[in-house]
Amino acid sequence: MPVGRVQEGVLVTHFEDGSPYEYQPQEGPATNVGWLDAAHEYSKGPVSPEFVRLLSELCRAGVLHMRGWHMCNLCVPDEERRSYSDLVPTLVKAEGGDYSVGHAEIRVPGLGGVMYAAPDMVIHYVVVHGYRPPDGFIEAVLRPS
Amino acid sequence: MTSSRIHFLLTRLLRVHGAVSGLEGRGRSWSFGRLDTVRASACHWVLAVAVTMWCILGFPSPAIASADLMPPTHGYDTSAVYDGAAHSALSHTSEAAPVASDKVAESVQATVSTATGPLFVLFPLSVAADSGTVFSGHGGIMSGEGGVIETTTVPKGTCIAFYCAHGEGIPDSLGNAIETGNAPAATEVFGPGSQVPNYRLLPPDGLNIAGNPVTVGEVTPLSELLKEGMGTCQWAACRKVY
Repeated sequence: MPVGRVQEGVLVTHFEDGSPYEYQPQEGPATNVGWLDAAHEYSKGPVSPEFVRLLSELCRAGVLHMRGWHMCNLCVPDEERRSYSDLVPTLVKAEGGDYSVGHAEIRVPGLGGVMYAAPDMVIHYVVVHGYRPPDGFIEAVLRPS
Repeated sequence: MTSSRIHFLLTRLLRVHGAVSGLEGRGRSWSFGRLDTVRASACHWVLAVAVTMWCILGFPSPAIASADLMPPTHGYDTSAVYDGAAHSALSHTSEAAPVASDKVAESVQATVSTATGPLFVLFPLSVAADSGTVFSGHGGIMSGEGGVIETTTVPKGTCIAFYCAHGEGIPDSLGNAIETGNAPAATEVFGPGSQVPNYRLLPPDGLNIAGNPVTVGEVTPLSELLKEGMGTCQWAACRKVY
């Protein structure tokens, strides 16, 4: 059950917000959110502290853990990462304790039967890189479960 | 019976097998699709036993003998790019090793294609029964300039099985299946003398590890994990390319 889509020997991890989820097809259907990549533009904007707190809890738990790290290429461009000492997982600092992201996903049920699929790295994108996810996703995270 | 005599007989058997199945000399990679065309061959049973013995006992293989003629391939390989896509889902990659001259290259490739290639047609059948050391954690490899992938040589008496293609990842659940002996057939197996990407094993942070696999506390290359006579080892980690 290998996963992912390999293009030119590299695992592709960028998907447009709102596109159908296909990273692990057997885990769909779902709607992509937050699969960012340095080579593609993304929406930026403020989000509430409550959204960040709830999103962080989701990302700390994670689902569908993988046995390899995805490195944030917004922090360090892929072409500049040339040493194994650069393969350090992205750390998220949170009230409940720090944790690493880049090897799991989250699932958030939205309105109308939509299931959002995001990488656990999405919390890092929001906090460090100013990413603002689609409104539907934000509402889904804030909605009491 | 000396090991060289056994090897000679195995080589003869493989040539017979190749002639029967009509596969001899068609290439160096062998896929499941072709397996369907040769399943009825009685030679398969002989080959299955031979492969298991080859892996466990470490019979000298042409690939190993040829490797003696080659320069070391540890460190970034500047003469060849490992191209996972160029190999079948189940393949043997001894030919990936760089060679000192065209003459040696021809010799190596001719030997590999007729002698060791067909071995891997049946090899996965023996993986489950010979579940040796499992390496667990996060995994991957960094590509060098121009996409060059560092390789290492699988030691004598050792094989390494993978459960996804080069560049792909595996979920934690599949890793657990490998660790508990419940994995599906390996997608790719490299035998003694083969050149294999020198993947790194990283600490299993955030993973659920089952069984009693080998894990690491720091980034460790496959070349340091594989030793002679380990039997069939299994890679319960991703094969991501960074």
